[in-house]
Parts: sequence; C-alpha cells; structure tokens
Amino acid sequence: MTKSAISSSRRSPATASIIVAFAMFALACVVAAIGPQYDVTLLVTVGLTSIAGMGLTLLLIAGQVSLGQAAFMAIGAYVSAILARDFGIPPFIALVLGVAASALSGVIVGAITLRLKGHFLPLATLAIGIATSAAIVAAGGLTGGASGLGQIPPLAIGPLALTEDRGFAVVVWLLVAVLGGGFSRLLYSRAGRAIAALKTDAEMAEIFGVDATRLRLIVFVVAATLAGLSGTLYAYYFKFLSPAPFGLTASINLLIACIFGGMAHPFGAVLGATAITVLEMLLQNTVARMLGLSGNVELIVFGLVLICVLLRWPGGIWSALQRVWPRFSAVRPGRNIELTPSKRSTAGEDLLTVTGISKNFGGLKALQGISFSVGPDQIVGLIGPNGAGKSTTFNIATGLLAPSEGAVLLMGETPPKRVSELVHRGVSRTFQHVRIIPERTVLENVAFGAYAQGRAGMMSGMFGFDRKEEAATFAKAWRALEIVELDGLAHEPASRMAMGQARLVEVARALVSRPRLLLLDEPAAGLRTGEKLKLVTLLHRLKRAGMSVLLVEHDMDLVMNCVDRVVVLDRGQSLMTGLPDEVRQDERVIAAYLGT
Amino acid sequence: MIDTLLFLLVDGITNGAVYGLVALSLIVIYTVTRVVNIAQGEYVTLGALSFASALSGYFSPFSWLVAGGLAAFAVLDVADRRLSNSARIRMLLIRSIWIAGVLATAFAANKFPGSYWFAVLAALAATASLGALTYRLTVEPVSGASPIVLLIVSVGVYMVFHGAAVLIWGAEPQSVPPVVDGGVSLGPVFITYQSLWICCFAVLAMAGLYTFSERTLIGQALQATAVNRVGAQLCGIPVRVAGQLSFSIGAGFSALSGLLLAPLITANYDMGFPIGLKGFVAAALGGIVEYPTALVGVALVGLTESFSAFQISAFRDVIVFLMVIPILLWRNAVRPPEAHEH
Repeated sequence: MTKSAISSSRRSPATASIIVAFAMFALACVVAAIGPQYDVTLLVTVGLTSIAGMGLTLLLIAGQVSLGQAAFMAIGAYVSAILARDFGIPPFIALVLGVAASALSGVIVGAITLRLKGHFLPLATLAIGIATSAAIVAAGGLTGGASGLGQIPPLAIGPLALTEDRGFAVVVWLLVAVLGGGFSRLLYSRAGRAIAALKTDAEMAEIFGVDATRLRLIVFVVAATLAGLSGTLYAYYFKFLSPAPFGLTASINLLIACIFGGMAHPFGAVLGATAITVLEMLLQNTVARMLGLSGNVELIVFGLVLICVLLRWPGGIWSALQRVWPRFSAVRPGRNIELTPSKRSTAGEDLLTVTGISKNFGGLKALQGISFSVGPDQIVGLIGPNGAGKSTTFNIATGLLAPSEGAVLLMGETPPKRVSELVHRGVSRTFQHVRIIPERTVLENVAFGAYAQGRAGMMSGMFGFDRKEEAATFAKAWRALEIVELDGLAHEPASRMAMGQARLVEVARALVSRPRLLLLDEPAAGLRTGEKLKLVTLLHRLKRAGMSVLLVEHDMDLVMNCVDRVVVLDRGQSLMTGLPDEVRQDERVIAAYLGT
Repeated sequence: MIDTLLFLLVDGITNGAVYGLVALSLIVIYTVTRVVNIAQGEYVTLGALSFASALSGYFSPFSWLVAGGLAAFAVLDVADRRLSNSARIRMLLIRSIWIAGVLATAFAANKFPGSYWFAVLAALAATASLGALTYRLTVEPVSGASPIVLLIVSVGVYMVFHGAAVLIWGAEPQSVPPVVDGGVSLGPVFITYQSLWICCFAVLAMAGLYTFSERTLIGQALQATAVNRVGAQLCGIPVRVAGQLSFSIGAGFSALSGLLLAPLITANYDMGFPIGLKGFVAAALGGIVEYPTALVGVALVGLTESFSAFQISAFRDVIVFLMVIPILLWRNAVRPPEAHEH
C-alpha cells in the first residue's frame, strides 16, 4: 500500500508541474546569464506573454473567452507608469497599485459582462478592448496619446533598483515558474474541479455547491490581474509605453498563443508564447527580409496558425505533450469509510413536501395541483407518460423553477433561493442528460461531488495546503465508486464511458455529497438490463443506509421493483398516489399509459 | 445651429446606411451558419480596393486568387467519392460557370478601364465568391462547433484578409470616383449625390433581401436552416449550399457598401474593420437575427457617431464601441443566445 502510494505520488501531475516549473526557471536563468542582449529581451517578452497567457488559459478552462485581455495589460501598465513617473510614487508601490487597478477593472468589467451568455461575452470584451486603446489615444494629456509615454523610472524596492535587464528577466521567469507550477497544481484541486465543472455545465456545478456567478467572476479577475501584472512589468522593462502593443492585435495574439500552446493547461500558455515569439522572429528575419515585406506576413501567418489549430489540432502543442504527462491518480484508501447521510433526519419528518403546486408557462398549464411527500427512508417514484410534467415537478422540487401556485418544503423549510445552497440542505441529484466533466477522470468527477464539504480555496490549491482535505475527498470518491461498482474505471477519462456507466458515475458523485434526499432524474434511461438490476440493488442499499430517494423514471418495472410509493402524473395532473401494487392495477393508470 | 444639426443628421444617416448593409450581411451569415463574423469588415475593404483597381484598369491578383481558390475546391468537391456521375457533371458545370463569371467580369473591367459598372461587377463577383470560399474552408470543416469557436476562427480569417489586402494593394489609400459627381443643396446643407446613392442602394438592398428571404423558396430554405440546422438537413435542404450562399450574400453586400463608401473616405486597407464592428453594434440590438431591430440599431449607431464626433471627437470610437455593452446586456436579458446547439 505504502509502496504504491509513493510511486503514484512521484508520478503525479503536481510533482511533474513542480519539476517543469523548476526546469523552466533554470533554463531562463541560463539564457539570462549567457545569452546576448537581444535574447534577454526576447526572454522577457515571452515571460510577460506567458504571465498574461496563463490568466487567459484559466479563463478558457472555465469556458470563457476574452478578446480584450490587452486592455487589462494597458490599465496595469499605464496606471503604474503614470503614478511612478508623474506623481513620484515609489515604483514598487506603483506596480502594486497598477496591478490593483487591473484587478479592480476586472471586477467592474466582469460584474457587468459575465452575465452575458454564449458568444456575447467575447464580443463585449472585444468592444472593451478596442474602446480602451481608443481611450488611451484620446486621453493624450495624461497618457501621451499615440506618441507615447517615456522616461518611466526603473523598478525598485527602496534602494534596491532592478536596472539590470538580465536580473529583470530572472524576476519575470521566477513569476512564470511560480504561477505556472501553482496553476497546474490548481487544476487538480477542489477549486480546479469546480472551474472545469463550470465549463461543462454551470447548473450542474451549482447543484454541488459552487456559486457559479462568484467563481466565474473570481476567474475573470485573476485573468485581469495577471494581465495587469504582465503590463506593469512591460512598462518597467521597456520604460516606454505607447497604445500599439495593447491594441486589438495584442489581445488576439495572446489568444493565439494560448490556443496554439494548448488551452487545457497553463503550461500551454508558456509553450504558445514561446512558439509565437519564435515564429515571429523567424518571419521577421527570413521571409519578411528576403521578400522585402513588412509585418503583414506575420499577420497572415498568425491568422493561418489560429485557423489551422482550431480546425485540425484543437489541443495545440500541449496535446502532444499530454501523452507523456502523468495522468491524475489518487491513492485508494486502505480502510473502509462509510458514506452515510450528513445529518440524520428527525424521526417522522418529511424530507420533501409538495403541496398543491401548479406551473403555467404562458397559457400552457404544465402542472395543476400536484401534492406528494417523501418521508424518511423512503423511495418515491414519480412516473407518467411523456409530457406529464415529471421534469417540471422535479425542477420545482429542487428550486430550479418557482411554482406559479402552491408550496414546496425541503427538510421542513422553503427551498433555498440559490441552487448552490441546496447541497447544504442535504439534497443532491442526477441529470436526465448526463452532465459530467468529459476532460477529467471518472474519479475526479466523483470527487467533485464533495465540493460543498471542502474548504480549500484557490491559494491552497495552488500551493498545496489542501493535502489532508484532498485525501479525505478522494477516499470518499473511491468508496462511492466501489458502491456503484465502477472502481475499475476510476482513472479512465470520463468521456470514454458508456451511457449506463456515466449515469452510475452521476449517482456516485451525488453520493459523495452525502445527501439525505437523493433525486434521480431517469437514471435507467440507456441502461442495459443487468445495469438496471444493479441500480435496483443500489437503491435498496441506499435506503438501508438512511437515504430517501425521489425517482423520476420511465421504466415501470424498475420503479415497481424498488419504490415504496408511486406518484402518477398525467397531463400535468396528479392521477393517483399509492403503493406500487395499487398503481399497477389502477385502470386510470393503465389507460394513461396505453391510451383509451 | 440648425445647419449643424442637419449636417450631422445627413452624415449620420449616410454612415448608418453603410453600417446597415454590413449589419444585414452579419445577420444573413449569423442566422444561417451561427458564425459571428469578425472578418465582415474586411469584405468592405476588399470590395472597395478591388473596385478601385478594376476601375483603373489594373487586373488585380485578387481575382486570380479567388478564381484559383474556387478551382481548387471545385476539384476537391468533384473528387468526392460519394457523388454520382451526374451530380459530378452538374457540379463541375456550375463551378466552371462560376469561375468563368469571376474571371470574365475581371477581364471586362480590364478591357474597359474606367467603366463604372464593369468595375462594380468585377469587385462584387470576386468578393462574393471569396465569401463562399471562406465558408468552404473555415466553417464547413467545423460546422458543428460552438459559436465561440466559429467566432475565434473568424478572427483568424480577419487577420489573413487584413494582411493580404496590404500585400496586394499596399498601404497607400486609393481615391475612387463617385457614381455621379456633385450634389444638391437642401436649404443650408449640401448633400453629395454619393450619399444619396448610398442610402438608395441600402434601401434597395434591404428591400431585396427582405423579399428574397420572405418570398422565395431559397430564402425560406435559408430561414429554415437558421432555425434548425439538423431539421433543415432532414428536410432535404443542402446546409452546405445554404452556408455558402449566405456567406456570398453577406460578402457581396459588404463589398457593395465598401465601394459605395470609398469615394467619401478613399479606399484603404484599414477602412473595413471599424465599419464591420459598428455594423455589428447595430446588428447586436436585434441579437444579430432581427432585420427590423437592426435598422433601429443602424440609425442609433450612425447618429451617435456623427453627434459624438461633433461634441467630443477624440472619444467618438470609444463611445460607439462601448454602446455595444448596454445593447448586449439588454439583449441578453430579453432573449439570451443559445449557448450550444445540441
């Protein structure tokens, strides 16, 4: 056991990240020490692009795209340069203020634009980026306008001035290494799983306790802050600012670097920044000089790179390295832990009570006067033909929809206003259309279910202060996978699972959140007979462990085999509620299913 | 005071008409293919520049490039093994006529330098074909991708077009003559005939497009594709052809707006991109799907631009581009875009 623990930890992606981060830093130090001046400037440029790029990559991992990152670089650069130059503020404090200004603008822009869905967000950031560079030109009195802003003092802390270019390069790459190592560790932490879940499906993330709006804003602000840091350092290195390097082209080139390098991993940004800079050098030194053409060849080539990568090679350079990169794994716990509900319900109290709910969508009466309840240690089946209103009932019970009339009580109280609070009440669910994170392993998907029980934030995820919590989380995840008998697939990518397996993984993920009430939305759809039998056994086992289940299902046999009570819906109305045997023999039910 | 107001009004409406043509192009393309085309403004540039060179009798390599591209993908399409022989012959025939059309118009403009309408035809034929070619090369291979991926691909297309425009025509602006010189004095304000032409063309083009999409079978088919791609495919509407057609129409309309605008601001490689974005701001008001709302947006953008240019000229573009944020927020609240097509 201990032996396998050591070998797996040695080959974990976190360890690999640290090794790569050190190697990058060492390599940069060598170039900074012995390379010619020209190479040092290139080194700094690549480093600065990498810092901003890692922020953008994090944003991409969270499923968002910004076409205006250079605006945040500009804000950081101009704020710190103007403060240090014209207001006599010590350069280091000006740097901190510049980065803070970028972060603050990230908060403002994010708060306004992050509610935009789909492709509206990249368009809004595009407009903000263009408007920012236009504003820099227009506000010439303060920013020097198109002709630029020179004589920026060198970066210094007290008497320690960083005037030496080579030293500057080392500082920049120290930041790249620390941030790169940190972010790639973050990917496999509690916060990293939540960020990945955000991309898959925000609603699913909320069910497990992620405040999606807040997390999205945090990621956006982190990206803006890193862009700002990159911009400030640019100002102190080149000691001259003009609007050109912060325009639309800069935002696009940053995006190209991230996509070319591979948008699945922060190191992709470093790879992409290096590749793009090398390509640019090659083009400038060979093609352009030989043919006597100006910078337009670069534009065309970069455009072609962007198109080709997206069309033919969406993983970018990183996808080639991923094959040798250690896959995520977590040690299987030795002792058996029990996955029991977080709090036992008080005896006799109903977990879910639905009283006379109705739901109208415009003129359509989807539901009319539905009442039922789910008691402790009870499995209740909600059945009905297509269009009967099962899903609507289900969504109202979990607070995703508000009823037009009637009341819902969850654990004796009204449902929480925010979906992300639901899990703290001891409620969890699965989805009719499977919502798992395709890029992650089965085990990580299940571990995400424990999000609400964890505390570790982004910082502890980046720098490894979450070891104890993660060990407990993965112990639970392993246990849940054993319960659904899929522990053999733990380290497989979730995208490779068959439909039936994916549904069981969703059940396992729900179990890890230790619910008192488990809501299953058509868990048997797409399952084979053997798998259905397994599901029935599993449901009985959960009930014995003190869990209540509300089951929406089409498969009558499955429902009748495991539930204590059945609620039959038909055309938005409650047809009957009763024991399985009563329902089976009821003529109205038979008529509703077979037609009269 | 009244003079200034009238002048700004005329200026705003002229600009608005240009943005209107671009906004229509964006809508045609977005509704059929789900591409938010960042490269749209480049068709404006390419239309104006190829028009300028055709008018001066210079046979630009642009027409050769487009014809060559068409020929290359004709070969690829005809070589498709799944096709029957008759389909192959039909396809070969259509492609040949198409390529011949592009080259014929270019040669005609070359033979009759200074002939306004031949030059218009040559520019429109080449740019519209480039639209179809762009769809074929950059959208069709990933037609199932999310709108965000398609949007980023169009950013790449923008870069290629932008760089290519400078390579072909250079960075020097080229002056272009108007359709008719002169103008009329309307009280204190002088309106150039070109402004009237622009508005006239814009109205005609919009009416034409409206009739096309509402009254013809092809237009209806395009609309069906817009509502549901898979459904349209199942109904036997060739989605690929619909996509190419929408890109051709979009590119053609934008090129038209470019060559009409060129006499007022001179044709140059940098003219299109901001026009494309402003057309987008206007189209965003209607969620890039509604023609009538986009017209309101067009008027809004055109007038805001000319009035802010008068009041605080330096911040004109800042104001116009930032207008898109409240527009998108409003639109997002009223009717959010589908994040993904399943």
